[in-house]
Amino acid sequence: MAGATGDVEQRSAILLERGEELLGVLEAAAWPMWLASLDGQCIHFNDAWLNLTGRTLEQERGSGWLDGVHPGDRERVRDVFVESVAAQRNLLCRYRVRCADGEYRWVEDQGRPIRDRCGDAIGYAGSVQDLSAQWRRDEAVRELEKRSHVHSSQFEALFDAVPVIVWIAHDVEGRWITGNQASREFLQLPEGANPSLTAAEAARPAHYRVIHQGREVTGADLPVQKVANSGRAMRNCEMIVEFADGRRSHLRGNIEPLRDRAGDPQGAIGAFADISDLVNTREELIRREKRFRETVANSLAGFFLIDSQGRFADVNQAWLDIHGYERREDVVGRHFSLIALPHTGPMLEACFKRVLSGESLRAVDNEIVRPNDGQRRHLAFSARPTFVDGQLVEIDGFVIDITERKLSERALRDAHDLLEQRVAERTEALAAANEELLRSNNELLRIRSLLENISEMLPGMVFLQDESTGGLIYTNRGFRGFFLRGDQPDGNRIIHSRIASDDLMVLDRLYQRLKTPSEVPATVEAELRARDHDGTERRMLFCLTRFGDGRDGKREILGVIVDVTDSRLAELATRRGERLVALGTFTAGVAHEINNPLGTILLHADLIEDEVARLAAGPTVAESLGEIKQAATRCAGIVKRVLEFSRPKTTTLESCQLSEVMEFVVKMTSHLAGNSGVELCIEEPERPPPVRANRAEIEQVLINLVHNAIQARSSRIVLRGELTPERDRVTVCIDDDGEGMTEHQVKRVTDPFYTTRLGEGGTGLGLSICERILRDHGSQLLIQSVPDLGTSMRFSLPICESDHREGANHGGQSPAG
Amino acid sequence: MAAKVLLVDDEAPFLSALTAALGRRGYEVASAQDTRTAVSEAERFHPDVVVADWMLRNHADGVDLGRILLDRGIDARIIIMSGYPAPELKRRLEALPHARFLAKPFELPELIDMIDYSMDKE
Repeated sequence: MAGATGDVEQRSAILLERGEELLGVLEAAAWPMWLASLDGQCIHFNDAWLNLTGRTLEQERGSGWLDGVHPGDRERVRDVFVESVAAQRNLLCRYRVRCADGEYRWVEDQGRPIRDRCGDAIGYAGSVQDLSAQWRRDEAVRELEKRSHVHSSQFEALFDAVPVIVWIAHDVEGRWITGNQASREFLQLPEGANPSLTAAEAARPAHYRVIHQGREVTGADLPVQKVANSGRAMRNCEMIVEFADGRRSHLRGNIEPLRDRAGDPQGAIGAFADISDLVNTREELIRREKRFRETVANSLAGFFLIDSQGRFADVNQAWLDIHGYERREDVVGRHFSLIALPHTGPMLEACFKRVLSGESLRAVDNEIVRPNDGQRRHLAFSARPTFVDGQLVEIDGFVIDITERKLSERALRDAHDLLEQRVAERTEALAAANEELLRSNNELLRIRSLLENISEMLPGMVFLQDESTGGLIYTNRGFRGFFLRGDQPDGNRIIHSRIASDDLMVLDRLYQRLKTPSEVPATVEAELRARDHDGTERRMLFCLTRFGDGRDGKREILGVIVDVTDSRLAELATRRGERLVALGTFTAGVAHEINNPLGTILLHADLIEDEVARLAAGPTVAESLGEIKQAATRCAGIVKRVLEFSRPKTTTLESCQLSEVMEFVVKMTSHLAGNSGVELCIEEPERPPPVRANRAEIEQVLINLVHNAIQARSSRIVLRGELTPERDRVTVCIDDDGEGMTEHQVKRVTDPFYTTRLGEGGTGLGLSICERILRDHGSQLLIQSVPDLGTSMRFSLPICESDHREGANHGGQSPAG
Repeated sequence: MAAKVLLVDDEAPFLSALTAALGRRGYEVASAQDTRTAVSEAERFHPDVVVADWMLRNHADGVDLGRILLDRGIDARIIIMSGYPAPELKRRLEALPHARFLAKPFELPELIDMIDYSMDKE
């Protein structure tokens, strides 16, 4: 700091040393000046300054001069002054200063550092210009210019404002040329510079040259100079300005000569437009079009141009090749319908209309027949309109041959269709098979259900058994009823549990035979004895058959068991019946021969009896006669019953009154009853209607029943006939108070040849005959008996409907008759 | 009044015994051994009841006899006797009104019951 201060003092000293010299200069100056030291203190003001401010040197020295500065400007001025001096920078500052007359005037204060020979600053000096005076002068000038150069001003403005390049040659040689703003910008020259290429050698710009009509021009050949010199205007003059850096600009314009009052050439004025962009664009267009044409010409794709009328304007070689034409001339000028086929014509016409309306088309399929070889080809084309000012000028487009692609597409499609068809067929077949399967399955289920139902309804037993385990897979109701009552289902053991132990081996052999492969047919059967639940022995026919071939590991045995006990008994009875018929036929033959003599014997016995009684013979004779009669009667009874039992059935039903029948029976048996001391009576609470029956047979039944009752040592026998509650049958009862029968006897009393009076002439056929007759009448004999209390036998017969109605009718008519 | 009974049987011992037995019981009895005699006896005797054996000689039977008598206007109850009650006889008997069947051999009371029953029906 001390160094710096010392430096400043040292310089101020230098400044003061040179003071005389400087002060002399300051005092000589006609305008106000000041001198400052490097520390910013003004050390001197010349007389012009002091005259201006009307103050003394002493008042102004240091910073006193600031007192004369307008208070509004003072601070700003001081800052600028101090900064500029301290930085030793040039100073330019405008401010108002109080003049000697007391008024403030605008001044422009300019200052700069003062340097010694070494270039070191030693002080600062400045001068002040009275702006008010200048402004007044400027105003006067402006007023003058305003008045006298209005046109010039307008021209100047126009000159600089126009976007075209304007040059004015002020002499006939064009040595002095001025240009407007556009020209300066174009040539990149500062304002006031002379752009003339004919200027003095030193002042001539060298960074550009002019090419006119294909060659560089200089001197008087330059267009502007030429016009200035010749006085002949040039219109549409084109020239190229080539800059040193290689840039080229195309200018086009008009040049007019300038003349003096005498009409002699004085210069020229030229106005040019930079048409470089236009030229470049044009060249680019030309270049592009050339390239495009080459491309199109060499393109493998067909190119076409169609005018607004639909005529071919141009086609390329590829188009000719694709469409099968030799020369462009065959096509150009012809309407596009040239290539249309009957089926593509309307489509092409429609495409054309669409393009006319401004649409661009892409990848339109088309088909042609080539005229040169007659081949049908598939094409795809694009088309696009070109409009100028809303007017269609042409349509351009490309076309390619897609025949091969079409063919492959078609092949692919055909293959695809075939595949689809196969799939569809297969699907259909599958669906049909599936449906058939479902149907079969349903049918199977139906048959199975049917079989199970049939099986359930069968009176016999059915079971299905797993061959290997013996487990029961299925059993019907009959089987379950017989075998499974209270037992756990356990296959063979269940069956075995019911089979008579003697027949178990037979059953085992049956199963063995079933497994023997040579056994044909696969059904085996055997009759076995089985025990019922209450221990009754039944005869069972076992039929077994085998299911499954064993390939799926499943073999089943189907068994059908039929209870043949009853049919065996029936067979037995039938055989016995047959024997009886044979016996009957035989006995019937002899019965007649026996009965006649028996009849004779009995009658004669009666006669003898009468004689014996009259002759009063001893009791021995009478007893003997009684024995003879009894023996003969027994013989007759035996023959009669044997005959009747074997007699074939011939029942003719008729209407008969039961009361008559009963009366007849009582009469027919009263003799026997009387002999045995039995009271016979008929009870009829209300006379029943006639019944439909074979009278003789019913008589025989009743006689038989009454005989049985008499022989049961009864004291009273009651015959009773009465309508059933339903009033459709008549019940006939024979009640006795005889010795009665046990339950066992009741069960067997209708069996043929069963008799409780074997030693008393009973054949055991009576009740069985009765039962057969009643069965023929659709009835049955019901027997209730209690030993020592008596027996009640009853049967019912249907009432004779026709007689019943008839009788009712008669009854209805009798009051009238 | 005792009933008039015509007995027809080709077996003489049986016929004589039956005639005696019925006669002894108060019936007025005529007898015949064949159809022809039976018819002439019936025309002469006018029986109330005809008791005839089914199997008669000369290829005619009791049923035929009954029909013949019926045809000749002799109104008598018919009782057919037989030791051989063949089905054919039953059918034939049904064609003859009021005819009854009595199986041989029988005890006298049975026949008497039947004769009396027939008379009662009268």
